[in-house]
Amino acid sequence: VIRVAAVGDVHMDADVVGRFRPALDEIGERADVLLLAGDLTRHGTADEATCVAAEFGGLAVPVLAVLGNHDHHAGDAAKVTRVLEQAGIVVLEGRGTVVRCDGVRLGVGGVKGFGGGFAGRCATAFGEAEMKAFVHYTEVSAASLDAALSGLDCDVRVALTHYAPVPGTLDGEPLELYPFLGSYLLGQAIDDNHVSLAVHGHAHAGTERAATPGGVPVRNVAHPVIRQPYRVYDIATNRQPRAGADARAAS
Amino acid sequence: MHDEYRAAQLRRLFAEDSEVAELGIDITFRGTAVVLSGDVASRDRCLAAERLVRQELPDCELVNEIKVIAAGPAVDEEVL
Repeated sequence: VIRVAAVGDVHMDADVVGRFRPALDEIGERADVLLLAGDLTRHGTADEATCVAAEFGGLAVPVLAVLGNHDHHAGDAAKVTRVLEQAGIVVLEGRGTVVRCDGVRLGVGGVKGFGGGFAGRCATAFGEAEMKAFVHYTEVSAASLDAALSGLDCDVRVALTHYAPVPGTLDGEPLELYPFLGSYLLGQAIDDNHVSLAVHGHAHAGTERAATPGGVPVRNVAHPVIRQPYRVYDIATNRQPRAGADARAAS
Repeated sequence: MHDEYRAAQLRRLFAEDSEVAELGIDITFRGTAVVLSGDVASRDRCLAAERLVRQELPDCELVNEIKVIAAGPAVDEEVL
C-alpha cells in the first residue's frame, strides 16, 4: 500500500503560518508522500511562498505540488516556484516525477490545469480571439498532463491538478461556475494513462469524492472541503489500472 | 443600484481587493442588511472582508456569518 496525503487551497500568508504544522510534523507516521493541489498562497508573492516553504518544507515525506490560480495572481509564478523548490518542495507544471515508497515507484504527473467546462457543456475554440486563447490554454495544459503521465516509468500513477478534471467533485458549487472550475480534457488525460488516483483542489464548495468516466477515483482535497490538514488515500500497489486506461493501452 | 448589481460588485471586489483576495465569500441582501457567508482561513481575513463592505456600503446594516475554518488534526484515511 502507498499512502498518499493531499491537501490544496491552503492560501498561506503570515497570518496563518503554523496552523498545519502540528499535523505535518507527524505526517511520516501516516503517509509516504504529500501532494499540494495548488492555491498555496493568497496572491502568489514571494513572501507568501516563503510562508508555504516554512509550513510545508522539511517534512519527513517528499512534498510534490502544483500551483493554482492564486499563485499566479501577482505574475510571479516563477519566483514562487523557486522559493518552494529551495525548500525541497517539487513543483510540477506539465511534468512528472517518481518517488520510491518502500520499494514501490510512485509516479506523479502534475499540472495546474484550467477551466473550459465539461463534456457537452464546454467552451470551444470558436469566435473571438480571446475565446480561442482561453480554450487553447486548457488544451495545452491537458496535453502537458497527458505527456507528464505517459512519460512516467513507475508502478503506481497519480495525477495532481489544481483545476477539476470531472464535474462530480464540483457538486455544491453553482452550475454557472463549472466552466471556470475545470475541464474534461484533464479527465481525458487521466483516463488515458493508467492512473490510480487523481487529486485536485480549487472548488471550495465542492465535494470530496467522484470518479472519471473511466472509473479513476477523483478527490477534491481543497482544505475547505476536507476540513483537516490533509487527507490520506491508501492505494494498493497490486491494484490494476481502471478500464478506461486499459482500453486506450489496448487500442 | 439594484441589490443584484451591488452583490455582484462586492463579490468581484472580494476577489480583486488585495487585502481580501477571497473568491468564496457569498453576499446576500436580507431586507436592509447585507449578509456575508462562507469560509476563510483566519480571523484577519474575515475582518478584512467586513472592512471592505463597511467601506463600500457604509449605510447598510452588516451581518457577518463568515466562518474561520480550523486546521484541526488529520482524522482519517480512505482505502481506495
